[in-house]
Amino acid sequence: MRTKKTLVLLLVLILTVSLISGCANQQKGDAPSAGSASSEDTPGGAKRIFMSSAYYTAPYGAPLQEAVQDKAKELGYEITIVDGEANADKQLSQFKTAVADGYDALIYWPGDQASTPPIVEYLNSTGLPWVALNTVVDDSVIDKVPCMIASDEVEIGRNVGRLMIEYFEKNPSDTKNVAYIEGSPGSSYTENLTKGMNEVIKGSGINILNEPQYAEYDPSKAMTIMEDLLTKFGDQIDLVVAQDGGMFQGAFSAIEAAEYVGKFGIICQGQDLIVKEKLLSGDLYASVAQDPYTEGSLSVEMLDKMIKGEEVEHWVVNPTGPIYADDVDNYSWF
Amino acid sequence: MKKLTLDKGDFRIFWIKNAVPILLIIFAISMVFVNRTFSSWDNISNIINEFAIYGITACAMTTAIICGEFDLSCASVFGWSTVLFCLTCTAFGVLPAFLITMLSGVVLGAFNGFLVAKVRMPAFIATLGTMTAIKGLAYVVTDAQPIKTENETLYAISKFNIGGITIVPLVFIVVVVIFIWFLKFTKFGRGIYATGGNYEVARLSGINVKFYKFIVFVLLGACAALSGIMYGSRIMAGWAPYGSDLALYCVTVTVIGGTSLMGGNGGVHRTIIGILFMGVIFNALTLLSVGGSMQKFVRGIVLISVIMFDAITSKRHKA
Repeated sequence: MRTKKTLVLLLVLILTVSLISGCANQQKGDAPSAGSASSEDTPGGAKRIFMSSAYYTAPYGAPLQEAVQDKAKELGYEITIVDGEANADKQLSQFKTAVADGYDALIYWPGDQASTPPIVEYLNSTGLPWVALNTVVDDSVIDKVPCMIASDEVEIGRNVGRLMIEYFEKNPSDTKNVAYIEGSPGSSYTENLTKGMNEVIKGSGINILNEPQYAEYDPSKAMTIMEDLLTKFGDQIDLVVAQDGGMFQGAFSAIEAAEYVGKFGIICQGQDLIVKEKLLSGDLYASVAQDPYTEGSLSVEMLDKMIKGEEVEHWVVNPTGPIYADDVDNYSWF
Repeated sequence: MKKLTLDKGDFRIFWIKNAVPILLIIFAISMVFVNRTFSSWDNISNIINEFAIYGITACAMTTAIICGEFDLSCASVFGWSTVLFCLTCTAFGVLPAFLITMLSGVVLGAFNGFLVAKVRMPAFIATLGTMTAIKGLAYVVTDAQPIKTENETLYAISKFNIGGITIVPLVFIVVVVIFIWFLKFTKFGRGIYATGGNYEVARLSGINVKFYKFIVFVLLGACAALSGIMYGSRIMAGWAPYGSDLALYCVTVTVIGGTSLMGGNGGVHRTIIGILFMGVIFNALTLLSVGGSMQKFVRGIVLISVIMFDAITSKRHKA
């Protein structure tokens, strides 16, 4: 009996170690598994790119990271993407490990703006080509970033604001009351979207009914918030605005359950499949484009140019703009 | 003269008691051959710098677990401390900021201790409540914004290092030595073990069990604040969500180290093994170019394997 247990334990441990080695080989393709594999060691001298993603598991992260992998493969690079878990210290540590291991280029997706200076400083000190992705870095170091691929978040907010004004022009209402669901408190994306939207709707007579309600990009939280807003404001609502497709999905479930579909307009931001479906069904008035796939591809393209010594723009802006039901075929959906 | 021999039984006991460190050594040696970078000083100093911040709180969490308690709010105390430290650092300088933040951690820990020891609320419920309240407080104070500090002294401290080792691991070593000393060699430490081992027996034996229940939360609050200060000094910023995985990390390394969640046994020296184990595994996975998704899976499998191993060997040891 005891021998059997020992054997089971040994088996589990062997499996674990094998798994780790197996994963490594799977990720490296045909790369040799021994030694730190700088580009000189890899077959054909393929250069290695390391990416630390602060929002690895976020819905927006999946297509973005897929694009990074696809573009890297297309351009002949080996890519490793790890989860930075929105922890700046962890990301700094991951980059140090990657640099020690001889990676040739780096991609940095920061978790928040305030914690970016020490990492930007470190990345510059390595002398390696690197790009910042998605989250705009802190103002104090923005000039020190060699290349930043990010949406103009304030412009996305302005687009949301323009759509709100346009909606009320097409659907006149005396009250212009809006229920507004935001992402995460303090995140640059949430704050900048609201900032851009407020810039545009100022003086338009549009009235945001609720105090800030943060669903933290979580559909279930958005559903709860929407239920509360419907209970509190009900028929007073003329328009619902959600800061992303996931939160729209949650809010729409609540609207559907309370049988409010069609009684007011809905606007959101994002290119989720649910957004496409609801645009086509007419339940969603419009969305604002922010394509994670394009953003991911651009990051590797820019890095490739930097590796080859070519000039790159300091800030490569991920295109944005309104999407209506008629335009859905012109965009990618995730 | 007694002959030095190691029979089968001795070997089995040695293996049961030291399985995790032995596995850690085997794994580390394997990694040296698999990836040259693993044994480079740059990488070793990186591992040491990385685990030290959370390690400080892990020592206090181990003490709380030995005493039969648990604190969910340490993550919020950590986030709040990064905020408070950065705010006060900008306003008053590094030393006052350090003292104010430490005091805040002690007060928050004492409040948890009061709820558990005096009001007799279950630690899970009490610290769940304070976890939410403290995070909310941090959001209110900062208007939910991340806080930066540009204090030059703090910047100099964050850059200070000896051969790549920053000030954080030095603080960690001091904390570890203090915890090991009082847990092993003082009456105070024995009181914590006795309280966690059997609360009623300890109480009937005249041990002030309420005091020990209270003090472990104070220690946790102080250590979470110290970890927050170290984190804030490393990245020169503070934000309420920072350190949200701290409580889970602390429990994980404590369990991997071999301290029982039932209380009454284990030790900080064991938790160091757990911290090293996790640090080495995470680092190795990155060096082996294992992607983020697979890293999560492997981490889970390793954790299950170690806990399963511990459970089976402990059962056999008792038998």
